[in-house]
Amino acid sequence: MQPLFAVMQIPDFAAAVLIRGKRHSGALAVSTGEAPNQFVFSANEPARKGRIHEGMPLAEARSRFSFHGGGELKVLERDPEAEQRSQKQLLDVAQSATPRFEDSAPGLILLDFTGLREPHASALHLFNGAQQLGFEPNIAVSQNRFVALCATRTRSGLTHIYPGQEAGFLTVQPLDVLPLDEAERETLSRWGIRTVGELAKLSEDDLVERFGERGARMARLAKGEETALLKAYENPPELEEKQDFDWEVGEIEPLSFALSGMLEKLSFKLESHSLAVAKLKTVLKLANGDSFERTLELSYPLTDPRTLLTLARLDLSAHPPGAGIVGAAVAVVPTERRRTQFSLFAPDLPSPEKLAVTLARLGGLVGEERVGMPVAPDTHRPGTAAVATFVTKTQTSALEPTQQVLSPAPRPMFRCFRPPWTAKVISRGETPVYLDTEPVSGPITTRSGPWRVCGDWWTQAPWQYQEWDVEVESRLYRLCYELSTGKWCVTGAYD
Amino acid sequence: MLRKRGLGRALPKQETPDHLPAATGLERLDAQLGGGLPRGRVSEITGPESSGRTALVFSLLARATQRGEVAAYIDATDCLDPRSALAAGIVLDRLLWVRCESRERSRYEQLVLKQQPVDHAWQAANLVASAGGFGVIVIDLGGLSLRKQREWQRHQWIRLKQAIEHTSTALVTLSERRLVGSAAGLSLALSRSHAHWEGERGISLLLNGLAFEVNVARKLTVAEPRGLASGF
Repeated sequence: MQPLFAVMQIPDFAAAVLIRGKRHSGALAVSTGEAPNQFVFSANEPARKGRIHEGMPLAEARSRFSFHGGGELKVLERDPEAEQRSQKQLLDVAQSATPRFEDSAPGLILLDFTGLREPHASALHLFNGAQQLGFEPNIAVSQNRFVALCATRTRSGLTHIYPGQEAGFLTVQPLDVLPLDEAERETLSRWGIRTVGELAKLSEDDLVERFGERGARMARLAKGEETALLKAYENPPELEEKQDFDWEVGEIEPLSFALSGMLEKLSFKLESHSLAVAKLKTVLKLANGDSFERTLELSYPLTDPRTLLTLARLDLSAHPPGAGIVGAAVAVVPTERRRTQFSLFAPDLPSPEKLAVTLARLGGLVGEERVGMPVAPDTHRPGTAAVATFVTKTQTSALEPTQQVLSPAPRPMFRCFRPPWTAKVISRGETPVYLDTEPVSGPITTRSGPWRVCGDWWTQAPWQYQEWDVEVESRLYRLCYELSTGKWCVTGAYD
Repeated sequence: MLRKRGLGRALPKQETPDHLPAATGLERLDAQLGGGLPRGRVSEITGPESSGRTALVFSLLARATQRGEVAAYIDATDCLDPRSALAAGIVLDRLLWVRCESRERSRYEQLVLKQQPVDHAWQAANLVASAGGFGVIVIDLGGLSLRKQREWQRHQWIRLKQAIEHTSTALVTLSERRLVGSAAGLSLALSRSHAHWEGERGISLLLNGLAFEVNVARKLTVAEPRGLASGF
């Protein structure tokens, strides 16, 4: 079966969206950006004749247009949301003509008419549908998708390129219809090539020699032999489930029963679209009329409904709603699924599903802010530490030898006392000679210091310490003297 | 056959798969232990304060994380210093730190609110061990008082031991004295020899190092199955 394609293009789509259903024959430009830094986003044919082009500052476009005697340039502000709505409506029209179509670009839809009994009637249906939406579409039908695309750029209305006419149609087209970059266009221009037909006469080998791989594609395009796969459009899935309860729910068990069903449905939808959950949002309708909302940001894209249910349960157990629940809704933000190439030689890692549940359980046990990856603080204040979200990469490998920081023999490491031990110190001058705390008490045999540390002097709560490394009863401690209060404390031990 | 039918509970445990030991980075100690701390078993590192326990554990973690493994640090007294960990060469991205509450609960809280802080460390260790995939799990009980250390029951250690059996996880405990009992596959007792102070006393002195001795207090050896000739 011979393939058959149709291309529907709305010329100057951004402008067409703004003037839908109204006729405008004069020069029109669509602007984007905040005033005064506005630029021309698109311009129609009369405006382009007045030397207006995309990307030009709007003020310059206005002055240039009036300077060249074009009169007043009509400028409309771009509306991306309206463009999205219009594109969705055009896709609906395309779906009514054929189930296989591609959302190629804003205002441009490629349809697969292969196997349709009456392709011409379908093209007419498409044309009428777009007109009813207030657009003036260019539609072309051909066995070659590139030829059909060229036809929509050069011919208005409905065009049929019959089999065998493709090469003849392309021969007379200007080079502008080909997707070439500026350098290629300039090179071809220097060679005296003006039309696609002239390019088609050149040897493919010579073009490859000059342009590389792009030369081969150029030759195929010029001869109407270029083929490409159609990226079929799929409606995005509805990723929200709601349920109202007949009675008030006050416990986690019946709620999790309802959540389980909703999550299974969502998980099935996501799996069928090869997606995973990045964020899980649970909204509970409470009996007192309020709404209770929790959002879980997952470290890993997950799809397993049982894991998602466990995470939602743990989160709701840690942050219970303040009243009975009369309705629940679950929404997910989708993301791409993980694609991992595992190695036979890399070390074992925790499975993302188990790790996510483990982290949630640990968070519920000791507090979410106390579980994670240690972060070296950007301060020397004793005892400070923080944790960041613990995310293991799906594949970790050993560090390069140059990155490895391994000392040949262990050095004494510091153990913080949080909170620090309050200490009584007998000092001679500024030098501590005797330490008395609850766990240890005795003369200081060796000491090193004082080392002065300070910080936050630019805030309302500055701090300043003198630190000593001391040895008491064969134990090594870090002793701190707070200059503002005159108090001693032990902030940690070397071990 | 009995094992396949789920009736093998009474049979002797199958031997731990042949995992490479977790190297500590101390060449002589690794050589004596046959490569490092055993995987699939509980190892305990004991010793008083300033005996080099933390230095040994950090060296172990540095080697594990730099090899690409993921490690966990169950910190019962919230004593980990991230700056020291970084200086020891630990890849912090691959270390899960669980900061249990360091504050000692009052008797009222323990009796009336039924809150046992040591339970947090125990539950956290159990959760991490059950998750699997961690190369090294360290349970730091170093700063706990003797009373709190005694709250760890013998059956808890056996349960932890069973959770990591036949896995590539090396579970290491750090404490002042031996707690694990018969569940420990290896027990290292550390004692400080002396501290290295650099510089001139009274003028400029700097703590530069720590010398310590390691005594292998207990080492469980794997018995070869009967009837198999060694060297076959």
